[in-house]
Amino acid sequence: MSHTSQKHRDFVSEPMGDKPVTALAGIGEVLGSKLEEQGFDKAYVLLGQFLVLRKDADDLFKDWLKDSCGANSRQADLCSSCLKEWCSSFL
Amino acid sequence: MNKFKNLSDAELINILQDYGIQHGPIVDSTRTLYEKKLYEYERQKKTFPGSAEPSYESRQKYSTREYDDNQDDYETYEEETYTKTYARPQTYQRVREDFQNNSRFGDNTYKDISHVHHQSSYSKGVEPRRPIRPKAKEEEAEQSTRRFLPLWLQLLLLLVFAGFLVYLYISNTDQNPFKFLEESLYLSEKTADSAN
Repeated sequence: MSHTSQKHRDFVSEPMGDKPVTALAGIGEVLGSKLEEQGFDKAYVLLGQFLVLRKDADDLFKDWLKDSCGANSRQADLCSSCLKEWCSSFL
Repeated sequence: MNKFKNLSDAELINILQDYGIQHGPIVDSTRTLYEKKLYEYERQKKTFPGSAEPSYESRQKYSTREYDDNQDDYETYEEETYTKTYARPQTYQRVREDFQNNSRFGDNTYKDISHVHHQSSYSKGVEPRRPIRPKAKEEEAEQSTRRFLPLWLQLLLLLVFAGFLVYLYISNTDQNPFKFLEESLYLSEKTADSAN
């Protein structure tokens, strides 16, 4: 069995379209609402931030996510790897 | 931290490059992150003034990180050639193959272990997760050495202080708190003598 969550696999299996930010692995209700308050309501908006931070080079994105919405290391890891894998498939 | 707020984007980028901190474009949503990174970097430099040349230290740090990444990549490709199922680097095709495999076998219970292992390590992320990050460990170690006195010295001082208090107590009061011990010792000696 793989160690990724169903949410992760669902997200990386297809283009993200207009999915909400909570469709990302590691982003639940709480983090999602905090991100929405800051304008990151859709997954593609967060993807933009992810890309501007050089696809999480040197943990830039993870650090930003922890600072901006109080994500813990695990949540940041999940979200980053989710976006990274999506990018390697669809970008 | 406020001193970075007044800098222009170009100046901020210059400083980041001087310190060897990797960065992307500075926009409204990323600026605070870089300001914070610079602040933390300078604080670290102040705490450890021994590392005289700042840019050297950071570059060394980042170059080792890159080296680690390369190693990870190398391992990934090694695994890929080993399993052979996943020779192509495209995830999409890989996912499709995965589905085909699943439909053919119904369940992936019978996949051999190396296969499963590789699948999991791949789907974690594009680069496999570093199991234990040496950087984090170093930081922890640094934090523990940041204590004003080492732990064993603190304990030793506590013991010395306690001994001193006991000494004061004994010398100030005529009564020896350990008298009963001496008495019992004396008694036991006496009984031993009488037995002889």
